[in-house]
Amino acid sequence: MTITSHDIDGDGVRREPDAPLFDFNRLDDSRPLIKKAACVLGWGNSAITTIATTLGIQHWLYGLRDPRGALAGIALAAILFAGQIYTLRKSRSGYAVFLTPDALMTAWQWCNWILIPLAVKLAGSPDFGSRRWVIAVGSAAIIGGVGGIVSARLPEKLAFGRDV
Amino acid sequence: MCKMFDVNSPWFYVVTFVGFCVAFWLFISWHQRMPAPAVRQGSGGGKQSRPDTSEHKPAPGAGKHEESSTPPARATAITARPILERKNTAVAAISGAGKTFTMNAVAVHDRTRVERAAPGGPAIPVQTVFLSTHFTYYHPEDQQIDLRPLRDHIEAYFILDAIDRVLTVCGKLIDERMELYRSGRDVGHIIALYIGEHGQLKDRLGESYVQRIADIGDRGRKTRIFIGYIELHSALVAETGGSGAFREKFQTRLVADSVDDRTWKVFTGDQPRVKTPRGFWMSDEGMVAVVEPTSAMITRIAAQHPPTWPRLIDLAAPVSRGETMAKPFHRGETHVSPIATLQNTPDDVFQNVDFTTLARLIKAGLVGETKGLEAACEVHAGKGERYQLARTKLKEALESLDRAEE
Repeated sequence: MTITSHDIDGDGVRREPDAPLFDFNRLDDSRPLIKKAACVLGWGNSAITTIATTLGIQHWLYGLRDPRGALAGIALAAILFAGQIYTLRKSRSGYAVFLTPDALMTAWQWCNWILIPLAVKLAGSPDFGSRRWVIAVGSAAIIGGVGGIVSARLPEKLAFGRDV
Repeated sequence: MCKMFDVNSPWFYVVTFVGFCVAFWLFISWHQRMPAPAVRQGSGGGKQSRPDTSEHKPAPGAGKHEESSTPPARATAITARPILERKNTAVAAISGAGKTFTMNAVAVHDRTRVERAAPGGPAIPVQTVFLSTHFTYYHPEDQQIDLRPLRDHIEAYFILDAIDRVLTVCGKLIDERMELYRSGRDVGHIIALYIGEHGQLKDRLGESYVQRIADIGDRGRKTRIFIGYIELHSALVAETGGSGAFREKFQTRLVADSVDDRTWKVFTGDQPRVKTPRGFWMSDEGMVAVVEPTSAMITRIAAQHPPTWPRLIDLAAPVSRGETMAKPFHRGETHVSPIATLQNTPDDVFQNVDFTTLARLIKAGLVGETKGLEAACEVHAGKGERYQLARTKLKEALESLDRAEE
């Protein structure tokens, strides 16, 4: 098998993709415990939102939630996790392919669970489809989207360094 | 209890989330215990831009390998070992095994630590001195540990005469410091010499060079003048006799599996002959790993106040007028412009970038405008202020070249 080097830092220098997985030294080495905790919470959050999404899809398709939906979620979460780690510092587009569903599912579940109910509540429980409702839900969706991307990206950023 | 396994219960999510967090925590903990050789796996040390996927071929005379080249489960990092503990360090391997990469990694790590003669004692600063005819602060293919931000923090001598003079100065300093040592006084800061291309230096500088190295090896450690690192080839080790005297001079000895049996034995003692994966060296205490210094680490060093002691070459005997052997290394010699450090302000952030050279390279078609700017100025293409500023300066350089041609 031929392994080729890649311009992984985007600086015109081709480097090997096989950098150590958890090289905390690559970043500021202060407070590694907090970084580790943030990694764990980020990945745990990704996993749980993926499972919740597959269960939601199962309910939408078949009208029930059962362990098969959860197992599918676990499998999908594992694939996305492995894909992100494998493509990290190898391929920006490949990494984006595995990161995007993760970020979208995180955003969707955060909106479902917390942000939209909270925003609607704060807006005074406006009527469905009203202007205030649209603003409240839109704001929640934007916040959820940004939060989803950040929370999906943050663990790798902490664990692996600044670059994809 | 059943609710935890009922996917319709919120408890299911809580328990699953906690379970995943524990699993990820264990995974990270396990992985952190693994050695992290930041000599990128498969890279050939000196030629780090492309992984070496070929099998390790032992040098003629090398014994049979007992194990595969799988990295060991645990290996201490040689780069984490203080100079005062490591003392004189010799490395033997054939070319391309990563000797120079390891030297640069060790040198950078040596600048990040606080050296103390005793626990709780005063910090002892380190003067970093490179002596190598092949020295370069940076090369996109051969030397990717970017030392350019450390120009004010390290001394680099690459001309034979300068190297010779510096070694002479070291001998004199040892003489002076020995007086202090004998009177029980502090002998001063650490001077760490990182010597590359020993074979060439030996051939070109002759017996006096060998004697100076031997002298530093013998008396230097009492006076805190260390051979922080010296690159040897296996044959040269055999030439030196490979005796106990060698071990006496070099307290830390690292070797790759490409050397001959005799060298292996001299360096490692009774360690069984095994393959040394890229990024690892065998020592008499077992396998050790090399951890690549991060760019953040280099930037942090660069942001500190540079050392104030005189350069070793300035302590040498005056040279005749017009002699330029000992001139300091300057940026033009790498043909790659240095990057900015934290000390730069926005106005002078690219003061060290040679835009004229970059413009010539672009006009010659050797590099694209965007890639050239990104590499030389450490910027990413986009609408960022730094990139736009660099682009403006490049355009000015291109225009002035055009005008000159007209």
